[in-house]
Amino acid sequence: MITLNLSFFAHKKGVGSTKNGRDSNSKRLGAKRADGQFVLAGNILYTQNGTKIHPGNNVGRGSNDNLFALVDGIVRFERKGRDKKRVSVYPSGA
Amino acid sequence: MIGITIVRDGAGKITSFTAENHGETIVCAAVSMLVLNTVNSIEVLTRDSFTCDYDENGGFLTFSLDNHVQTAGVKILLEAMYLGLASAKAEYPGEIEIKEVKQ
Repeated sequence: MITLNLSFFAHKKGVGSTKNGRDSNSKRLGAKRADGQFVLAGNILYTQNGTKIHPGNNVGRGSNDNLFALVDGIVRFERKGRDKKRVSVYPSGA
Repeated sequence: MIGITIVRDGAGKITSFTAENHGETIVCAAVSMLVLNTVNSIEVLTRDSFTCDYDENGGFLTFSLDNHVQTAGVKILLEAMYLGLASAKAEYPGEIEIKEVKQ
């Protein structure tokens, strides 16, 4: 169970007066499914800001840049062009 | 402003959501309660498997159901959360932004 912290989505106020110590909270971004893993439509594959990884076949991109599977199938991280990457989902029967 | 992204499948069922950023007012306490209690309720009160990733410092949570077969309980809990968030947005438009994504 997650601790029911009512300030989970609140700015942290009154926390000391040091000049340093400001840092954005880690967003736990990155891959949520591994290459070759079976996923279901809707499963989040990769959380990111911007498009570090581009959506490939059968992958949708949410408004918050999260990549999610559009179909059930196997995850494949692939190259896109010279220096870009993309993630695709191939139906396991295909 | 707190950003909520709701992902619905072809049948309109909520399959995943993400909540991020911070708010200033009592609204963030309401959103915290709604979102966290929904995830806890699904964990405790239903047998549906899901993936939830969040930042212990707060400010980020992403939730995704692991399979298609959504029990009635999960559907109601997720729609109840959405209802609460949408109602809060109606009353405090500057505090919450809700985006819905259709698969």
